[in-house]
Amino acid sequence: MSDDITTLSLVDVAAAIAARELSSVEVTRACLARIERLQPVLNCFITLEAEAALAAARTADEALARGDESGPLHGVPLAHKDMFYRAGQRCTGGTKIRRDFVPDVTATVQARLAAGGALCLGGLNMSEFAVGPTGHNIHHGACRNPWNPVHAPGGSSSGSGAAVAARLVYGALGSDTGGSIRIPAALCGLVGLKPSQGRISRHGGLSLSFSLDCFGPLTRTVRDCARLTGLLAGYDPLDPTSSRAPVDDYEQACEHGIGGLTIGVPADHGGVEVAPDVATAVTDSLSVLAGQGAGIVEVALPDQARMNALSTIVTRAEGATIHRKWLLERRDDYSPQVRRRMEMGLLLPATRYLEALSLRARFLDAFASDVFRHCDVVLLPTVPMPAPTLAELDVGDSDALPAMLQRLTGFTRPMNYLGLPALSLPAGFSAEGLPMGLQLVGRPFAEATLFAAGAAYQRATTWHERAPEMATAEETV
Amino acid sequence: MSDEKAEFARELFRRWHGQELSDADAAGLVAFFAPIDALAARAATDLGFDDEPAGYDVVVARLTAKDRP
Repeated sequence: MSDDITTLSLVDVAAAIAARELSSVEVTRACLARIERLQPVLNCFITLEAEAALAAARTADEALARGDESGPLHGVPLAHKDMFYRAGQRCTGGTKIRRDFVPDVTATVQARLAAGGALCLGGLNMSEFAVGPTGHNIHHGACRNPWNPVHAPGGSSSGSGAAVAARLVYGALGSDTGGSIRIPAALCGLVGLKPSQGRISRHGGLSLSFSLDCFGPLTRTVRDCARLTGLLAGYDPLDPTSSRAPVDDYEQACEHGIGGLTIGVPADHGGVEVAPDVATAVTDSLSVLAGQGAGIVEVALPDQARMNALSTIVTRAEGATIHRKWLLERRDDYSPQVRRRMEMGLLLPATRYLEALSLRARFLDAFASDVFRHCDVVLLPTVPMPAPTLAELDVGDSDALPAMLQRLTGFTRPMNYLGLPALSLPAGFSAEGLPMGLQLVGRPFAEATLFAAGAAYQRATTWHERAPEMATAEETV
Repeated sequence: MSDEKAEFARELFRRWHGQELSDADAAGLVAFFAPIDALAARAATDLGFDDEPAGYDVVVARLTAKDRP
């Protein structure tokens, strides 16, 4: 029975709790039971707060019995990448340096989900300081992919991807500076949204790049993602970089058809090698969306390799600014790979950094005229291959590191540079049975269009309904 | 990557950050850094005299979707 509960979507479990068909305590116990069984295999959690979560679930049930429903996530257990502060709660950032850090503020994203009624089961595994697309973490142990634990879940929001895919929680927050929400979403068979720059407040979250960081949700369905985004989005006076652009009704957008929507497909992959299974999945997805009424046109993307390089320059310069003190005083407390990537920023002249920031307008302008003049949404792979094994990606700080990073983030990092919203969706499975993702990219603040297209795609496909076998077979753990 | 560039990185770290890099660290860092910096330098040749970071916000405002479903 408890596995039946955990296979419900976020929206469905919230409805069942609200209707008092299930109690929050029952739901939370079901999640905790799965965590107990699967944590030794997947290593999703850095900190598990079982007793506190059960107490919160009891409180939620008591409130509901009084007719006091706190919001659309009332009593629903979530857990988040261990980088979103809660005052008085340890928040490690996946690091050694902050292993015992206890913030005195609460992140706006945590506060908004709590105000919507959500429970938090703890802090999820992640790449050290949110740096790295694989899921390795030498301080807290590697997180593993629930579709095959030998394989990487992707990062840096590795625990968020693995925990939601394994049905340990109903949704999770991640952060995305170069693909860190979308990559684990794609490799774990989930929906993940990198919102427009400024759409979701970054107050109270661990920072990597002031200009490019975005926070957003990972879920099993587009509708679940729309619900979380609706709660998270909007101006926050505590984050002056957050936008005052109006927030659409994202769940309502999921009900809209996509007749008349034009989807652009890049004429080439900008030098990124795409695995045959992924290329086939993308082609098949176009047929699905055309069948839902969308028009398909070919578009030419601006130079992705240059956008990728400029994005890296911005991230490294800003990251090195944040980390310089520790890089000099606690160099050996970083993993070699993260240290190398951070130290790169210490070599950059200020002019190179400001050139990269100043060029953003030109590239976004070019993207608008070359791409959005012809289409509403761009469709491309999220990651060019199914999840590699953890061993294949364990390149440390060797000469193989740049090529590995370039390939994993080749389709995601440019969208951070442009600040565009991008939604990753499950798009099928490889011959090995590993999930693959496609990415829908929209105009600034057009998240509703992405949700409409994503929901239309999920109405016509069942990829998002599949659960990893290990996550439903007790005897495998 | 050339020894000359690695030596430059080592000297820069020493002068700017007061830190000594090993030969291996300097070579690895330059190997990682140089291709990205070269691409960024080529892109910067397109930079106009009046371009500045705030130009990005102007383009975003212009593109912000008005046709929400």
